[in-house]
Amino acid sequence: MTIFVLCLVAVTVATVAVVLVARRKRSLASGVVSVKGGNSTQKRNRMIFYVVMFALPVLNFLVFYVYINFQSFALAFQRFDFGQGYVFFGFGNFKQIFSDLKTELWMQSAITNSLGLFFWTLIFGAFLSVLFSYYIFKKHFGSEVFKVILYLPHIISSVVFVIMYKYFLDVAIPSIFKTLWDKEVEGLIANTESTHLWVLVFSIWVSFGTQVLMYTGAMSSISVSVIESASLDGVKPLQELIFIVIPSIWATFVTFMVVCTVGIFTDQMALFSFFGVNAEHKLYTIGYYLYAQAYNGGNVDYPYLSAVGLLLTAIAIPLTLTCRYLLNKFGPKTY
Amino acid sequence: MGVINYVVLVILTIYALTMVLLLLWGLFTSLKTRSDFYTNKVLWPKGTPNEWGWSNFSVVWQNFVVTATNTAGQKVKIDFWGQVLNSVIYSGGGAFVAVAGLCVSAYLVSKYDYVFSKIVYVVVIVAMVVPVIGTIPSTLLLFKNIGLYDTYTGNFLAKFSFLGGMYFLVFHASFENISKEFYEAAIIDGASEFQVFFKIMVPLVAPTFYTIFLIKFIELWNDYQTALLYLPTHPTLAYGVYHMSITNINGLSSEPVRLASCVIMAIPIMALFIAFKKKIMGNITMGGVKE
Repeated sequence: MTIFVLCLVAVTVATVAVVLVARRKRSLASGVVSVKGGNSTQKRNRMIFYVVMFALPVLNFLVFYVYINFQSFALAFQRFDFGQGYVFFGFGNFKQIFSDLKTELWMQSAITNSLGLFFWTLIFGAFLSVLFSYYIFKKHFGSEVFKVILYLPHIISSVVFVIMYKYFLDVAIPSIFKTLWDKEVEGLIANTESTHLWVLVFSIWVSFGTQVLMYTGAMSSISVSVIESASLDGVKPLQELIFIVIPSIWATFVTFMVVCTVGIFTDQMALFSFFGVNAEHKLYTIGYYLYAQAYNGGNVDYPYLSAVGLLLTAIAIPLTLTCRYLLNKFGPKTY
Repeated sequence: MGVINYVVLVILTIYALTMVLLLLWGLFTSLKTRSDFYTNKVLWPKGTPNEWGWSNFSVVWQNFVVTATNTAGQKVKIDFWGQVLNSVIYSGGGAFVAVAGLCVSAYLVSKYDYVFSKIVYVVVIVAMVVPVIGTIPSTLLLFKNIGLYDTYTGNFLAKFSFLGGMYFLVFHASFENISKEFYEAAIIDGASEFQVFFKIMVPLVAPTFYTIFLIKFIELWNDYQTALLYLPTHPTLAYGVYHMSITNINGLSSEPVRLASCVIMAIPIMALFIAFKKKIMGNITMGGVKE
């Protein structure tokens, strides 16, 4: 491994040196340091500074992004042998995955729950985030307070929120029912019939903060004169939102939709915070399964997990690129 | 305000009430004694403030211990203050390393028009757009093989990409907006490239650096899953709270005590947020450059 890293460093430095020596051009963009100007000492100093400062970031990227992805790819075609370590296994892991798809409840639930989480996050999370952002952008009553409250789940740890939420639903709610209506009810999280619903509600409930911040930031770049002239023309708030604001923030909206699409495969729905590694199989999401198995598993489990990751990556890449393409092609245009 | 805004106001008010009431309930419950909680699960603590369950917090200080197993198979106990120290090192050190790395990379890409800079920029955009899933096993194996597992250095170097992410683009935009005249004037005055970067460029993007550092600090303070996987014998406060919520040890099993630990964990970060609210929630902009 050490030799590999040293080779990577040597290749990186050599590549940079070759590129610097072979190609030079003066940039027409303002504020850019031209590598052609200055005397030879200055050019040499610039090059030394560039190479020295870039060495660690490039090495970091090559080792902890490129190499890790290659290793993950290779691991997907291996299995762990207690005598020999990781040995080539062909498509064995993938065959196991497709077999588990038909027989294992956790895998079927993971796919269903992940798609369900995406759907409801889209309906409530994305839709309401835009509405909330518009309200805050227009600086209506209480907008600053609402902005802070919407962002609170990103300030306070999700573990803290989960604990408070879980105890409130499992302890306080039954107590309220008992006191007000003299009715014995099971806690909403403890009751297995309603666990999934209330965990899903929690996921959406804490999801607004970053989206609202980003959308309000994008809305703030809309020209004031456009808003004012629309107002003078008698445009109503809903019309302003649909025909002016949403087209103006469409690029930001597309970015979040792409992130949301990737979230199908990575979102844990806070299950690890709620249940640790002991969530019921029917609650699983893909993201929860991948993390919980990596935490709880060992060398034997890694090849299978890597194969799952590779398969999901092969699905996620075209899905996100298609989503981005369709949203950009058929979305509103600003003129 | 049109009808739509009144509807949104109602929804926002309901949302805000649920958030505030939950946090208040958590705070009040953390101040209840065990006996008070058994008969009063919903309302504020009974009696005068002197009779409230302040001892819940001292129970947390004394018993908030996490037992972890290091790579040599030895059991290691980390108490409350050890977890606080780990949180400060992990959050502060991690945030600084991540933001400094991004700042350096973005400066080089935006200000030095070598072809390599353009290649790096394209790679950053592609890496952001193309999702890669399921690399945790590979990362864990690499960490263990090269001796970075369960070390702060390993986490700082490996878990924080210096070439990518939204904040790279924020820094890139900030540096792009800095006039080249700053650089040229400094070079004419005899400054070296290092001096230009550290004494001129970095101070000009200091507000951006500062804001992103705060955001990353808060994110890392609240993150327990990364520490759980990659720093098992350096549990942070967030991991301690999570661990306590799923175990029944040392008198930490009662709801008021567990909520007291939540309050202890939330207070520093809330104080930080209140102190720097405008920085954290404002639009990220660069420092003043006037021509």
